[in-house]
Amino acid sequence: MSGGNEHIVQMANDIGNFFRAESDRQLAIAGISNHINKFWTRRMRQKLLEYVQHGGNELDELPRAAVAHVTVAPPAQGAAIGAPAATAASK
Amino acid sequence: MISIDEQDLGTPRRESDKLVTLSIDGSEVTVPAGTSVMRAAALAGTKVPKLCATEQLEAFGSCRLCLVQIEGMKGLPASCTTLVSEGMKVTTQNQKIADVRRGVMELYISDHPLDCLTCPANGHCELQDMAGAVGLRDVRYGYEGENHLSLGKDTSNPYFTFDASKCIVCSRCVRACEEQQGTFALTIQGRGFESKVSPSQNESFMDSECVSCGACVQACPTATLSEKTLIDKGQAEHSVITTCAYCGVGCSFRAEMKGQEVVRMVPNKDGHANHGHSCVKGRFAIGYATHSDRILKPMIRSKISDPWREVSWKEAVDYAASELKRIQAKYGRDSIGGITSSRCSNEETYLVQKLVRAGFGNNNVDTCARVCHSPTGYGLKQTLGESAGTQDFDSVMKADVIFVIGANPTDGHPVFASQMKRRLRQGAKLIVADPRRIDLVRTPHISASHHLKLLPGTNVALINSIAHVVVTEGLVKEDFVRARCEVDSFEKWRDFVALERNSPEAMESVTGVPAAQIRAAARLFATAGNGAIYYGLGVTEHSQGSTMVMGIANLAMATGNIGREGVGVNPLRGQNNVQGSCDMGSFPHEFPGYRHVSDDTVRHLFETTWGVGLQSEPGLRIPNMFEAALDGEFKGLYIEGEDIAQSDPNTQHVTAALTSMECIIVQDLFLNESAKFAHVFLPGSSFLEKDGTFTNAERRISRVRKVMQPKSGYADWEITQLLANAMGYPMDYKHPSEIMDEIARLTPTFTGVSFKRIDELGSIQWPCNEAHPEGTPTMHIGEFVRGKGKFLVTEYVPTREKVNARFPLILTTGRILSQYNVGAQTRRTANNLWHDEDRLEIHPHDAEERGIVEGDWVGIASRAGDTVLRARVTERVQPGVVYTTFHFPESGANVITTDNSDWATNCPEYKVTAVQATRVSQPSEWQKRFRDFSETQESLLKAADVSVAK
Ligand code: SF4
Ligand code: SF4
Ligand code: SF4
Ligand code: FES
Repeated sequence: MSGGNEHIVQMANDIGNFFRAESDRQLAIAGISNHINKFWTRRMRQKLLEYVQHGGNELDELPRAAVAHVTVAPPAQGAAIGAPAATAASK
Repeated sequence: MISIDEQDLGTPRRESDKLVTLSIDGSEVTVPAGTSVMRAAALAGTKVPKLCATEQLEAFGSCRLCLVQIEGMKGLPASCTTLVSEGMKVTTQNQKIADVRRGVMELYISDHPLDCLTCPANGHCELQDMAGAVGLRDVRYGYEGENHLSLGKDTSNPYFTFDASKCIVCSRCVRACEEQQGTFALTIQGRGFESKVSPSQNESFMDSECVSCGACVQACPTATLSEKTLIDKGQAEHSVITTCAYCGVGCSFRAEMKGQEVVRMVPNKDGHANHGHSCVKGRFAIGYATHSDRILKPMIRSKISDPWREVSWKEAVDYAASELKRIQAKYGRDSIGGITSSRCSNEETYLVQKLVRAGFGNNNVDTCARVCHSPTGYGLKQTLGESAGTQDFDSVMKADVIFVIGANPTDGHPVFASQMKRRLRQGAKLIVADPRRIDLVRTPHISASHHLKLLPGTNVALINSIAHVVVTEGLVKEDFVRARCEVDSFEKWRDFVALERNSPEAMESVTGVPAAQIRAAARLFATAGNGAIYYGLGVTEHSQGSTMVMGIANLAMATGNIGREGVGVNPLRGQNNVQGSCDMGSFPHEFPGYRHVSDDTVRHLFETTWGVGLQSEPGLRIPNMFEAALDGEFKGLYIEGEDIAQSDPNTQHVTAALTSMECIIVQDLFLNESAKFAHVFLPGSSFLEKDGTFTNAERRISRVRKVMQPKSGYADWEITQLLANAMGYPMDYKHPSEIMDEIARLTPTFTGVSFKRIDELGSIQWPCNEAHPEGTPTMHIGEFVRGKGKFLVTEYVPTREKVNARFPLILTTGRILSQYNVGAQTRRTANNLWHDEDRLEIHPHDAEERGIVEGDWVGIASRAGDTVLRARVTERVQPGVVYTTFHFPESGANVITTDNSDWATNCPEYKVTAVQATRVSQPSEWQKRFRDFSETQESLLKAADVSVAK
């Protein structure tokens, strides 16, 4: 990461700051992890996980708790990416 | 002069449930009550002679040419000011009427230069036509009497002239400036023979308050006010209806043509967004399309230090494709991506995202909406269920209180601002929340009830304190909330905003706005009737941009201001196709129609139609692309119509990322700032050279029509198609209408949209489908798109961009009427006469403290970088806040802005940068480097002896 992991840590903390207003902690944690799963690339999520594994000092407590729900497993895929799909009707 | 292809019915259209039948010269006609006799006659096919009346303006009744005889009425009433009544019997022609009309014309003509044959209006002059219509044969007064024939011309405006000798003092221009534009720059000075049209206090047009919208020029029945292009080129012979390519208002125009040459652009009176009005950009600033800086042949080079080499289309496209494939083979499938632009058409944007998803095999596609309105999409989807504004522009005419937050409509959305001002002059109340005194706060016949002058970066604190008042003073529309919204989400939100820490008193020290003012504004908004919120980039471009959008939606729902005309949440979109580029799936996580890439059903639909497997993982957003590039993981980028090196924040970070990449392909009209870092340049086409559609801020899809052949040989959609084919992903569209047909097949909100249907209806506001076959002007009627409206808790979190002793001022950025975005287009027009450099606005107090006077060079330093601009000392900004625009690359406004961004969408925080300002005597180091680099790049372009436009 350029300048370390600063950028993704900052992003995760910013997301955490929004969801902190949620009084139900479980909902807040789900909100953060859903947001990250939905909008970050797998590579970015991986980096966040690695960062936490290596201490994750700069990451706030709430987003850190959410990291447990951040997924990096390869998702179920239909046709192979870029390979012709079942009904090739490309224009 | 009105358009060559428009019929002028004399007075404005009236809407009424009551219909009135009358007889005109013996034929019956039925019209809505309130219609003038003149208009009724015109609708019945009878042209009553007229001079002072025109359809765009209220009748005035001064020329006396339109007299008619009406059974039972005394004398000869003016048909323009007389309204129809049931059973009325009107005679438009008889001897008595003819004699009076001839007499009137004689007087006009005796004081008019008779140089018709060489006059620019010849053939389309209403005075000439009326002389013919009344059968004028003779002027008894002779031409020797006292006259105005020797009066001079005012040519000060770059786009039109004022030839006073031809003026018939009909005051159409004066009324156009008042009624249509709302600037009140013109008056009739003097009386009787002495009366004449005067801009401001007898000034030239350029020195007056005139904003060069051209409404007066269009209204003038003679050649007195004429476009300079009309004078130079002569009358057009045909016209084509198309859409302005500048701002999100999306004005409809008739391009008046002589063969393939544009003579003039005339706003289309049937245009649904603009109703015949325009601003200086759309009407006049189109010279860039034929500017000599345009590059017309493809070019390539292997390193950015190499001279450009002009090559054939085939060679350029093959080279680009082979480079992208080489990079993917070496660094992986995800190492390349594409960026599309809100300046592109829907069809072009759709193709770019399709190329990336299907051809590149990843989802690394983004659009410049990332840096402007992405929080709108996110915030409104979460709360209301659809990523778009809720109303049409005409809705403002039913608003009782208008709340403008972080938007500057008179500069950014001028034609809509004129409509809003019309409503405000009718008595609607105005609340403005803006750190700066925008023009709307006080303008002729309008004065805001409240100007909440908040500190930049405190929007959420402000909206929460307004909501606090609404909730704690019992101003919530309980029945609306109970019926239409998720009640538990409402209760959670209500309890939150009711907390003492959100009260105006507690927030006063944060926002800088007196609590009493917030309370008064909140009460006004909640109780004045229809409350409509309009907002712009002053809301979105913050670290809490998305939170603020949600806060606005919360307030609208709590006060019941959604789901009918006159209310709503209205994002004023910056560029022409911001809405469209978002709709078309150019965000990395969404397919067209805002459907997440991980949704299996949706993805399979696209896989089947596009014939390839697609990734279910979100791709990189623009700022993530830069980070990945600096990490060595992102190496190839296709950029269509966008200039990230100028428009994105923290320029030095962006250029470092661009420099680290191996293949950058830029498709544009000009060698823009990003193209200076490119390896392949593909010459794009202007909006005049292609077919397609733009979607404006009201979700209105309008046609862009080709009026000339693409100067580089290909329209942009064809170039993307060439690149796709060269990458091995086949595309074979014959016309952009086929692309729209595919979009309609794949997108539930677009199923009823086609070029044919748009041609029939004029324009369509999506959703347009079986449920709404003619489109949807107002959304969320009866039910929200997501079912029940959802309130979200919006805690104020201060930005991490803090002022301190080293950076004690807050810099905020904005726009100006005459220039557009990065200025690539408008800087290449005479609009520079109004604004030829970006300046730093600074309050007199801050200026004095620093020994800065008007016009001084000022160094502005932030944590990201520094630049130098000239000072404009003004009380428009408050102490502690400085302001600038970023229309000129050498200004380096984005060298200072930082990487901070919206938590949800990464939309940059352009509106808040902590800076210091000091008097200096020379450009900044960055500016010196920029100048050297630009000079080198220009010499590399010259070395190639490239083909540019004539
Ligand atoms: S160009 Fe527009 S602003 Fe200027 S005088 Fe004419 S109507 Fe008024
Ligand atoms: S300038 Fe044209 S519109 Fe204005 S008063 Fe003279 S003739 Fe009429
Ligand atoms: S208001 Fe916007 S769309 Fe209309 S003419 Fe001006 S720039 Fe074009
Ligand atoms: S057109 Fe009716 S009075 Fe001039």
